[in-house]
Amino acid sequence: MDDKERKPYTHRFWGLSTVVLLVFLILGFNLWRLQIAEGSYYSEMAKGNVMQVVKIPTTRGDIVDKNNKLLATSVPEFVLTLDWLDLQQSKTTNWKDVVKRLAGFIKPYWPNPNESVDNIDVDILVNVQNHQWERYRPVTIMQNVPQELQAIVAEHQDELPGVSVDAIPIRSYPQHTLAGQILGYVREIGPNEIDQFNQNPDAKKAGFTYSQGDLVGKDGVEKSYDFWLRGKEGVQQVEVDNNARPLSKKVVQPPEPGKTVQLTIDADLQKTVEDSLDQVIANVQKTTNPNAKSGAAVVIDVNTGKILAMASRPSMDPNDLIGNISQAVSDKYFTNKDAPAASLDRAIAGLYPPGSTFKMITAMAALQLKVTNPQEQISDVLSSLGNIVAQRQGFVEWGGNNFGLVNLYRAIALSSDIYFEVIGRRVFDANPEFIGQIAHEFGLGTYSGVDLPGEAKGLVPSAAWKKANNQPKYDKERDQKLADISSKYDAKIAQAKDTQTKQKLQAQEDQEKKQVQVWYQQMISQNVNWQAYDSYNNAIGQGYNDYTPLQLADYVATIVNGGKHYQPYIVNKITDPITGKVVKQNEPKVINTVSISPSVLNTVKQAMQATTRGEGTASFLFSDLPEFSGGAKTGTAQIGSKDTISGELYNGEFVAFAPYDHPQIAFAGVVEYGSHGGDTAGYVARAAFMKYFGWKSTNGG
Amino acid sequence: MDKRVYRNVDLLFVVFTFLLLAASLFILSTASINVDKADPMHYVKAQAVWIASGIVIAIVLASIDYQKWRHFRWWIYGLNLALLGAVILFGSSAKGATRWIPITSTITIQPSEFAKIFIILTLADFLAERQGKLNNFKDFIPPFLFVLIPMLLIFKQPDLGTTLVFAAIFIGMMFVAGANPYKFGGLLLGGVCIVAVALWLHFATDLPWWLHWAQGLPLPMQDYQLKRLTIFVNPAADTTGDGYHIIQSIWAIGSGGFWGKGYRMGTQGQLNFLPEHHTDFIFSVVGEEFGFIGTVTLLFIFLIFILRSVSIAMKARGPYGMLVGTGIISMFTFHILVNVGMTSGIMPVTGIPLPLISFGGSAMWSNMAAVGLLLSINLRSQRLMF
Repeated sequence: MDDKERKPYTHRFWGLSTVVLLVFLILGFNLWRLQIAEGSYYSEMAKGNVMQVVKIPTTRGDIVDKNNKLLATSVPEFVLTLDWLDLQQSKTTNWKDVVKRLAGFIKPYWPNPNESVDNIDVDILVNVQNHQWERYRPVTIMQNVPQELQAIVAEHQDELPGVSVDAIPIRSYPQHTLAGQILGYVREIGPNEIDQFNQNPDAKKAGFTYSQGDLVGKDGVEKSYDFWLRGKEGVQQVEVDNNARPLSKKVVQPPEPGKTVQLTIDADLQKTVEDSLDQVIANVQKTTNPNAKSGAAVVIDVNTGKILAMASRPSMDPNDLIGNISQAVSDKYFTNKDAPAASLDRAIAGLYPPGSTFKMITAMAALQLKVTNPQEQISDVLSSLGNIVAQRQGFVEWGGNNFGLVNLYRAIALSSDIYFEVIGRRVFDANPEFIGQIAHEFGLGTYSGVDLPGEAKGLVPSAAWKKANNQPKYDKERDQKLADISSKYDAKIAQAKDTQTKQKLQAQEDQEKKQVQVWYQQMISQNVNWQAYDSYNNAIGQGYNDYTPLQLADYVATIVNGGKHYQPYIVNKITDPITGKVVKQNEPKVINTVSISPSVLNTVKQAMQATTRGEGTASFLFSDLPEFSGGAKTGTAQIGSKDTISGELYNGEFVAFAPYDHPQIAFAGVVEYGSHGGDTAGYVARAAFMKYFGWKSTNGG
Repeated sequence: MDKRVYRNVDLLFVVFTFLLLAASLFILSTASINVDKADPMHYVKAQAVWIASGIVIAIVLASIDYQKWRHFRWWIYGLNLALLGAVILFGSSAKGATRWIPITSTITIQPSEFAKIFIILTLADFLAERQGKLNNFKDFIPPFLFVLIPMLLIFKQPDLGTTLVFAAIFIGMMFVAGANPYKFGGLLLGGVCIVAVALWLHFATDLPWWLHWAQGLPLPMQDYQLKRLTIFVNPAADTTGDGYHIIQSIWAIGSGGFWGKGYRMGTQGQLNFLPEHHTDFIFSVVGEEFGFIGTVTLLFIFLIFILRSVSIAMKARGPYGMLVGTGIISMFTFHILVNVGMTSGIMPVTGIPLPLISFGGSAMWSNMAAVGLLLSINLRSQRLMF
């Protein structure tokens, strides 16, 4: 081949070389992209292939009362597990023989007694097979392992490599219904709850995040202190191959048990209050109303806001809500189908009209505004309200009584409605928002801030509230009516043939619209504007008022402790179960000091004492307790008649404190359908006082 | 044989060939240790045997004057068709394809590996006779048919990878043989466009109504095969199925970073996340354990090896040697492109091994035969006066 012949080939070979170089450049650039530019990303991906994280369960912390009596704890449930890695690494024996041997040991305890050893063997293998994509996790072979089988497995441990009996902690509430709603219960976190739990400030601070599948407190202290109770799950890192077979494992974070939460509750006092409430409700069922099933009672320390006892009926046993629950259990606790829902803590989430227990607010407002003085006497007849118009808007004395001339002390002691209607109207006329302000200062109609979930806010009505609440409804209705009339006549007028007909129709339209305006004004004046009867109603604790028993107890405590409104709380401290060190101590917290002068507070306190003495409505409760000193107020609150057939249903309400000098505890209680406060909830207060102070009855009852 | 011919030998080519063979054993000593648990070094030993016998083949072929093969062109062509036909008649199957002829119960041969060498030897002769006569579309038809027949037999197995290697060999040799670059290039471009449009029509989900008829057009491949071929564009679409292999391979290479995880320290390969890591996906192990340094070094060795081959082909005594050399260069380059490309996610997964590195006897023999042919050309090259 001469050069001339060779030349075109040489050129083409240079072309070929260029293509080759280009190929290598493309490949090299792509490798640079994968290994240098994005290398760290792929290294994470490859690591994720290999390292699986297995959580090591931990034990949930105990909940104890103020004397460290156990209220909620964790007990072990024993499960039999098979660990792939340990099984495979047993050099002495074939792993299939181990499973066969295990099947033989299990046979007498197997849930299905008729199954042969061979079938059990197959069952276990299928179970292991089903978990082949997470072989790094021990497979549960059997639950609720009886003690004998535990002993057998322990005895034959050498022949059963990889087989172990593990204790899985299960929640248990040894006192059953005692303080059930306070404790709450534990179940798997709901998909919508994850965000809510992650908002918990303690969890946030610790950088802890909840995830699907976590067991969490669903109510009560279990919920509000979930972060402290749950402890920290341990983390085990397992290196696996592509068949999810474990190759090695390493505990990177040992589990930390949950903290012990100590309540402010005194379990003995709690039991007394609960038993007494049960008795009273049973009695009301028998004598007054067979539908009476609900009630609540609260005892708080007036000088700290500590909740010493808090009961809600119907009762709840948190043990019922562990694991799978039946429809019947679900109905019992979460619906009002057959009986009022038992999971509801009525002491903090039940809203009740306060009835006469509200009268101290009216009294303090009147004294503070100086629209009356403690000595002013008002005749206990309807005419004291004023002219016939005012009288028609008021209410007659309860029970058709006439208590004669009534001053503040007698008015509280006897629960005179006329007296409070008179001075209540004076207060509302002077300042329609004042009663609401005072009520708020005492914690009524505001969130108490108690460290429990699900508390209700309640409502203090006022002129402004009534307007804001009711006016929009009537505005909307009026606008709708006017629009309807317009559209009706617009069509007619458009079709009208002559101007005369048109004018006639126009006049008709105007007339109809005028009627709507008249109707609107009437509605506004009755249902939107504050009326005298609103003042009367409100002054005696009826009408729109709605409060929780805890708010009522807090309100009484604030009266008798000199005007310090404490934030009630249920958890005293949190301790580490291993070191015993206190990790969190809740301290009393004054939310606000009331604007009522000490002398007014003292006057009202005195009047409450009068209730427990002589002619007072609660004197019968304490007459056989010589050591008793304190004060009280009874209440009988009409329940909205629209919900009931008879329209004559009353809740019994009772608030009290003791002793009189340097008061220590305050009580508030409600018995639904209990009619009178004194002889229903009053007995619960009496029982609580006797238990707390050790007072004895002179007639032994 | 004249002793003087040995003075011509391209030492750099020989050295880099041995570097590649040594690299094969070294890489297999980490990539294959977890494949046969009973004998971790089994594949290294077996490969050593293939390499040793491959060297013998290369020496034998180097010592025979490659031009002698021209006399047997039709015999070779016939033998090629016979072997490929035998695969269809007596072949044994694995992984959905029939590519092997069983010799004994344990030994099988893969004729498509040797078919590449056979077609290079015969097509070179076919084109050498037609040099200067490849200017019209009409002229392209005979060489195309010449290649098409064995190509179709391989496509039938199905072995799309080797079919494409045939196409690459054909294109490279036609180009060097002097096919009119505009006409031939235009033809290729047209072919690629037709394939692209056909694929698009087949897989598009939002065709306008007037193109619906196209959806039903027959394609020479099953849907699952097409899907396997095109999944590399978006492997995340099927992370546990067809995309799994690509994803694991990309993770392996990418996670190697600059320095790699170290010899036998790669998790993707050692823990079996990456399938076929001692054969078609051996390059991923290089990427994982030896990093960018390792992959670039290996590519560099390949590049020098190929460029020396080009140099040898250029200096061949006549067009026949040049064309044989070109066929071999096209084959090696295309193998490297597709293999490294598929392991790093820019080429479809077609089951093409990395030449001289991947484990496998037939491939080693045919590649060493190619090396032997190149040496034969080298030894008998014309002294040039550049």
